[in-house]
Amino acid sequence: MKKNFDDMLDICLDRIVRGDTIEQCLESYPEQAAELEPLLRAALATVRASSSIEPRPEFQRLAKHQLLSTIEEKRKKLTVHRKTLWSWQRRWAVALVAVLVILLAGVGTVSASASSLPGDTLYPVKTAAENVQGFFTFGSEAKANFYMSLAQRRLNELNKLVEENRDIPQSLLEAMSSETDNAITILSGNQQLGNESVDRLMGLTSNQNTVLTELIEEVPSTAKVKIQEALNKSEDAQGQALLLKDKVGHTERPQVSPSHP
Amino acid sequence: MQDEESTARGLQNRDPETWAEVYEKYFPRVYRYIALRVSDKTEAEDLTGQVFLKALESVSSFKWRGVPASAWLFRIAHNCVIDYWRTSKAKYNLPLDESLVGNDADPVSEAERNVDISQVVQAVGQLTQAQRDVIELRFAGGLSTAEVAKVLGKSQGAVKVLQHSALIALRRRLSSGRKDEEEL
Repeated sequence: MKKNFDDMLDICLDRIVRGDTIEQCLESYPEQAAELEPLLRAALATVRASSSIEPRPEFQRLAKHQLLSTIEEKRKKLTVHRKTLWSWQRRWAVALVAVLVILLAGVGTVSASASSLPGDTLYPVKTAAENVQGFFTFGSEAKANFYMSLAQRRLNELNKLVEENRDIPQSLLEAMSSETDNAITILSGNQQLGNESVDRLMGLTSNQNTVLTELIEEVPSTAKVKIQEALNKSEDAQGQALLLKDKVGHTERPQVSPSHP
Repeated sequence: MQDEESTARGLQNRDPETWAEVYEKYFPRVYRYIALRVSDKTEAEDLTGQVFLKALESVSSFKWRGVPASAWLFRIAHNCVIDYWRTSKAKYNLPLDESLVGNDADPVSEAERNVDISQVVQAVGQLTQAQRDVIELRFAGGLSTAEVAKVLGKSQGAVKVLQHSALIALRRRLSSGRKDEEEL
């Protein structure tokens, strides 16, 4: 019986918290009304007293701002951490697979693969060896030069495929553009950019332009679209190389002494 | 407001929208609960801010097992208050800081209201600790009996019994407080 009264009291308290009046609650339990009423009045006084305690709106806003800024910071950190972790995992995985390919293929096979072209059996060994070489290339300028060598290699492969009248795979053109882009990204972020690397980039993009412009006239119409895309990308790359050249020119231009106008 | 399970997921994923929603809904309630326990405006504000930051720190350990976010937040608030009293040099059961109460345009009615509130706060302060926990979580925090049970790690039955005995004690103290006032 006692337990039932506790339940009734609890139901009435829920109703009072929600805004019902004491009288409304007592109507539901007329037999227990006399016992319930004083307890509900004490509860109502407590609810009223606590509801008049209000936080300052300016503090509430400030604390909210602090909380949401902390959330934003944490989300940013987590994204950077995941990206870094993923990028390192990917790099190690690529290098590991490449080392395994080289070990399985043997050193002789790797040297033999140097002259292979896309579509040849040994071509994957050649690209695996390049991945290993890239993994162990350190320093931004060295890395940029490495990507430029790869892009030049892809251009040479393209010339050979044309000479041998073989199909030009889309992946070869994409690899050439992406290696050129990698070199540009690294050089653009380099604060002590050297003239030599920029000249090399200009030479590379100019060669790409010449070869692709000649090629677009020769290839069948079905292949023209992909060559045109590669040409557009190489023109963009040439534009960026010119900007870098300009940047190097400004930083290397000797200052004129005011006493010798 | 999203349902409890998707709220829990949003909190775990540190979704700013869910956090903002939970903040708006619970900040005033957590503040009231803490303010009644520490009776000091600045401390109450600092502690309420800390509750949400601590919740953010520990959200990875918050698992959805049917426990609503409110019970989880108030458990953090409850522990914050316990830590505060353990380390603070202030005396327990301080008189109510009048600036805690919102302003009233009429100074007479504001003064009367402050007296009423002080009486209630004093009466609540004289309850046993277990009764006080239930009453403050239930009426200042606005939690249901089930949520209070989760926060305090008690059964719902035990919470209802404590609630009943607390209200009997409160009624007695409030009516004797009023008699004292009338005699004066």
